[in-house]
Amino acid sequence: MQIACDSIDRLMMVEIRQRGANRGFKWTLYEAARAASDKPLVLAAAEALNGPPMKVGIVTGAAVPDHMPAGENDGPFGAVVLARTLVAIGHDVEIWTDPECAPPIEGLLKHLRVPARVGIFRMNDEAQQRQIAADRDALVAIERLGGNINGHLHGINGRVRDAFRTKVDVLFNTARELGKVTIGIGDGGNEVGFGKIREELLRRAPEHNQPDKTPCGGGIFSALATDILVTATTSNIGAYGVAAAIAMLRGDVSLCHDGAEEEALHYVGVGLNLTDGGGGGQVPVCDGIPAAANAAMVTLIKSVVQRFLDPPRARPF
Amino acid sequence: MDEITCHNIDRLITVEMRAGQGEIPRGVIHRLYEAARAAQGDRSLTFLAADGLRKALKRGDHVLVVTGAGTPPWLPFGETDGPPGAAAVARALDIGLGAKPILIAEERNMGPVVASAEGIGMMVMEEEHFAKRDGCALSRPMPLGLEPGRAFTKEIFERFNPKAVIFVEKGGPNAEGFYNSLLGTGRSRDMMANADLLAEEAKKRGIFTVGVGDGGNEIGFGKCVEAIREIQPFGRVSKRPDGSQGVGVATVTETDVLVAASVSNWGGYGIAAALACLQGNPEILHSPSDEIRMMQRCVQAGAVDGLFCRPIPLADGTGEAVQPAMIIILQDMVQMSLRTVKRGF
Repeated sequence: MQIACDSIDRLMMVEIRQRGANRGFKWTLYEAARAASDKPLVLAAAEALNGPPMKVGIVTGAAVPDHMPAGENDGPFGAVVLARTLVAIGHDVEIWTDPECAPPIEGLLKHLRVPARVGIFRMNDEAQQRQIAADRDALVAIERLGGNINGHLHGINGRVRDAFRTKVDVLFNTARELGKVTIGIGDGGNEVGFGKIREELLRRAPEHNQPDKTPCGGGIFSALATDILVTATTSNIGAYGVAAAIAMLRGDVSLCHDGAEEEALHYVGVGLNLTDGGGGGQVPVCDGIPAAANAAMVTLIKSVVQRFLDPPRARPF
Repeated sequence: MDEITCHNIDRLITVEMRAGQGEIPRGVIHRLYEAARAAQGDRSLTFLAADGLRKALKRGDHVLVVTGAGTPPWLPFGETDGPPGAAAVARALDIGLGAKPILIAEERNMGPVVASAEGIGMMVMEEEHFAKRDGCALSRPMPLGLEPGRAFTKEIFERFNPKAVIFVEKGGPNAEGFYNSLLGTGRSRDMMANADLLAEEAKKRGIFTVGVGDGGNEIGFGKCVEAIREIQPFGRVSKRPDGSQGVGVATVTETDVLVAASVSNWGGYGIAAALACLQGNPEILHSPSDEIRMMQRCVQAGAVDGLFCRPIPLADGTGEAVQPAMIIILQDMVQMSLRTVKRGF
């Protein structure tokens, strides 16, 4: 199990990235996260979520007025796919997001026929966040910005997102105080969960913090930690990796995402006004990676699961 | 051209997808890769191979592409891992550098090698026509055994004066001269093409060599024998043809560059992808539909998957859909490495 999950961890970190975007950083994220975990990242997350029926809150959504009005597709795809796996093993799942991100997530849930509810954040309503933390047994952030060292939210290029994005730091900090399971799935260092390895990232790759580009000077790295951190080349792929690890723990490959479904999600997403965070277009591309390549990645993840669950074969030579 | 994309190509082709149960060693590929990388200055291995090839080869130069794994009775025409990787490299060198590939394997394994080349769009022709056009390869079966191998090596180097030699999933001898399977089954020199002679001759002549492998028993891994002894379950103990205990599967045959992969074919694809990045031409890497055609042709010619032991278009047990998926991702990596995005928000 450890070996197969390490394979998935490593596969998820393969960077498929255009010039002009910050490149060559994914493997550093992985190595720092793996060094802070006593087991493969997807296994740690899967074990925390693989129990008797529990109440799980998934937090996602990244809308930017004018540029990504209904949010980007990295995050929502991972949220609904993981929700489907969690519902299938008996959990009660809510997906929490900002108001403008809710309609496409509802559309994706309908498309995949997942009976999960969508909850809507009131802008920076801390009482609401404390209530959610008290209600849920586990919270999973997928591509959700976390506050930096000065409490500000930033996009990957250092632009401030405070004015229109609910900061969920209270939600995750309260959940941790209450002893709930907290998991952060991210791909850039600026998302919920990276507080767990912030110091290490500053040591290994300070240039990716970009303090000079953030008005407060604190840089983009989030200071918000979760108990478990999963890093991947896109946050969606990270969520698919967690679903795959749950499939292995349960011995049921049907709990794993599928390549053909992944490709379809991209086109459904375009119809729901979701945006590619890589280039900012409403196209079947996620973080700059075309649908077919993401589907291929899912095919490879599923293949690791299938081989792991295969019966033994005799080879006499 | 920076190495960033090539580092990620390395990472993709070294993702292990092994059976959860059975005798095939698990959890070893990334360790072999790290050992190979440490032995080569912590550089991207596909970058080193592609960069070395483009410096060594100019238009019209002959290049030997050597493959063919497996022995009768279990794999009478060889396995599906090797020939497609070799064919992909041959095609990449033809399109990318205008080099003239000569495919070398045991006679028994040559059918799937030729079929793979044809499946990926390379003609395999007579020497007269081979010399006159692009898009083709020559095939030369290498005889079994030491003395016939020496005569073959002499002839091929004198006649073609190759400027590079690439070995893909080609077994090399261990320290006591036996060629081993991954599970430590040793074969004597007279059961195999002694391709290590080609590596030796190339070294003597100062010709650039690349070895691609996935187990430590293939030509090229002579670079990290000690690591293989540590990592592989049969690294220290193998079985000689007479049944007595041998010294382990690690080959002692070295190449200038060693590319370690999860499946040797993928090592070949990775080199093609790296060359495509370096040359700025995505066509150098074959397409997903080429891949599907190639695997089917390879199997129809008698090649057998090394895990399932059946003639099905898998490689080392990795699934039918996995092979084109690998190419889709590599193609996107290549294309993105050549494109610049500007996001203004």
